[in-house]
Amino acid sequence: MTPDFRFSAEVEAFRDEVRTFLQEEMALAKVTPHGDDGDLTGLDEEFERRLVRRAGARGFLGISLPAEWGGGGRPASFQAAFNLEVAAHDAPLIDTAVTLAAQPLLAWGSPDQRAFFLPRIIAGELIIGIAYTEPDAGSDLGNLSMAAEPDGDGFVLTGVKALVTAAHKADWCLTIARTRPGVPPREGLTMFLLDMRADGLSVRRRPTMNRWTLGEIACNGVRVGPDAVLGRENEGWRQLAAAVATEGAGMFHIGFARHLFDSLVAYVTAAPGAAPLSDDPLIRDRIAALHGEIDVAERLAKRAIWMQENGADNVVFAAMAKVYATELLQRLALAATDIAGMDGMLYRPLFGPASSTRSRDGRFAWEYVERVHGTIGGGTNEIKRTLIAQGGLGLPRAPRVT
Amino acid sequence: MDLSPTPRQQELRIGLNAFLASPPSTGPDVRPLSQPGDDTALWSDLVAGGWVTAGFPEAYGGRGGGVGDLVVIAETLGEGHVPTPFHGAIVLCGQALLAAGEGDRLRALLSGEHTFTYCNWEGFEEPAERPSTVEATKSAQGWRLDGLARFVPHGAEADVLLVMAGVRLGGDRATPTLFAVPGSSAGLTTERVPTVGGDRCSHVGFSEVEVDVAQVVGEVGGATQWLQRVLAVGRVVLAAEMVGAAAAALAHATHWATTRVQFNAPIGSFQAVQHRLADAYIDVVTAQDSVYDAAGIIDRGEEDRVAAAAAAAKAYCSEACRRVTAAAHQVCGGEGIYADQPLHLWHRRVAALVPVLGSVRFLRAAVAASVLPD
Repeated sequence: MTPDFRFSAEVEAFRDEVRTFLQEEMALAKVTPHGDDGDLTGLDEEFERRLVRRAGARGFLGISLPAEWGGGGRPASFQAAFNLEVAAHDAPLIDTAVTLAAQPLLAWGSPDQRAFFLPRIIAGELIIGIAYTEPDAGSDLGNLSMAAEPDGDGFVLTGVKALVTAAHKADWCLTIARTRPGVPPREGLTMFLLDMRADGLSVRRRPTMNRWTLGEIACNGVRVGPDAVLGRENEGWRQLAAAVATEGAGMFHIGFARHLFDSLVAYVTAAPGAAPLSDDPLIRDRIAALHGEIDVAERLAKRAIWMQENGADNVVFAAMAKVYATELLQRLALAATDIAGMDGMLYRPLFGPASSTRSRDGRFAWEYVERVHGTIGGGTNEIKRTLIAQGGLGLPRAPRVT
Repeated sequence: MDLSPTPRQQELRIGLNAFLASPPSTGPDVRPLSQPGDDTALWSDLVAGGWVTAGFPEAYGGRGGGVGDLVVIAETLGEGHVPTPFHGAIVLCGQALLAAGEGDRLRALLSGEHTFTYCNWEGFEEPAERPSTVEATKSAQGWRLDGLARFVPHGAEADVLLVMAGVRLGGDRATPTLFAVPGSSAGLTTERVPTVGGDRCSHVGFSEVEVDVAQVVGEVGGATQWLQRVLAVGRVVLAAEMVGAAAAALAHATHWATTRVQFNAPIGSFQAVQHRLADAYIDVVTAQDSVYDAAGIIDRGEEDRVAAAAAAAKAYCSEACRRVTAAAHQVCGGEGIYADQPLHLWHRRVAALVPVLGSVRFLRAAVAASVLPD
């Protein structure tokens, strides 16, 4: 068979099930009272926790995690299809617990840690933040300075973590700190599972340009026991590199893109009196190009997933998928605001009473602002391009500046 | 989802690469494009070796397989910048003869007994990018052809021209009918056109060219049944050849960036160069997958997706592959612009394929029609 990029019939059936669930759960009447533009999801914590639990009860969460921990045990395509639909419905289910925390737990968690966290993640009972970045350690994560000093059988954490999604509502966070001072930057690091209710831990919410907040986590002598260590002491750098490498192909970006594209098509085909914008050959040309590019992004993500399912190293392809999709989302949002003319200025949060409807009104400008961070978070596109050039094309490393 | 090529497609790629690199052929090295005829021997070898018959049924002398196999051949020829008549002579003409049920002519094509080319086919699409310029009228012997077909690949060399001509069947519109016209026919004139790709292209004039009824391919007006689909296959194969050229240009530039030292370091260690090549790599793999996806859609018979997928693939590859060869040139600097270096051949090849069977603008209009109301 010549290459076939379609999801299998089983994946499509699962996707239909997810779509039906989301159409019901994300109905306008249900979401409107819960709008919260201070949260990345656009919805309040009460709504999110309820929806995540319901999704867990339906067996949707961790669909591709091992069955022995309560996961679905299905191939990565299932998780990808789930992410695609969730994003297309603006549902607060692109949670870091399943996508970012579960893999490191599976890889390095102690039996007790796995037994505690994995079933709860899969049931949708936990919000877990990812707290690696620091004010002075962004792309250069080796520069991180949070200290974890030995204290009896445990550690005392002191320092600041920055740009943490959902920090204000997280139950736990996955973090990394320096357990051994005076060694080269990438040595002496250890990963920790941090209880967000711990004494000495505080979260400062800092609003982003699109209103929702990121959290800055300050640890002032936070005491943790030996059971807080994830994996091996002083092996944090290698674990972190592996954790980042297993981050998915970003299929949720495709969901965002298809949603915005559909809104744009609906906008240009509506004819308020005069001829619809879709009669304009320039607009048709631009929309056709974007349509093709969304397909390109989807194929790229699918190739990364297919490689993962077949046991191939997909780090370079996952990086390509991230770079391509996040930049495409910026082009899409730019096109939408541009094509919409003055309507492209309308700006409203996604949900809540301030939004008269969940339609495209105010959505294009919101997207234009929202899509800025995609090329920055999860490894900047510059870091990814370097990875693609060196890992994919075999180009030599730059002389390291120290 | 299954993205692996078939074993036959893998063997085809390996075998064809080995053939092109083997001593008897002139190989995938630098070939002076300004000298017509110098690759005729290579083409004969390719035909005699059966390398170009994959993708056609065994009953007609093919190796079996589908568009997925045609794509592998085109990609490999593109990588080796082998300017052959594969696209026109084998793919378009072969697919048309297959669709029209012309088994004998298809056998003659695949065996290399006669060389073919296509002529004036783009004039009958709905809508057409350029209108037909050849018309057929009834004559005592059968049919008489008049008009001018521009940019016919290998138009002066082919034994047989498969000419699409408009026939007035009573209505206002001319109906497309395909004629097999011997290249030696009286009244047929050719004028060589120099092109950026250096391929052999001619304008072909028809002045009272007489053909008999046996030279009608299929039935009068029958081409409407298969033209769109054959053009879709042709677009995907053209896109594949561009992908091959772009991939080779990227490999060439990557090698250069790894070995060329400036400021005491390989230039490929500089971030400005790495990021440019990373983008080129993304362009190559995404262009390649757009071709494979479209080929799969055709081979699986997803008829309602064929036209848009083929148009989208060729439109995307046209732009992506142009970006790649331009980036490769930038990375290779002054050395890359010399004619004795191969880079310009891939750069020019892509440029020469971009307008064939539809410009980007035209193809995007077709894609738009599948997304937006007319």
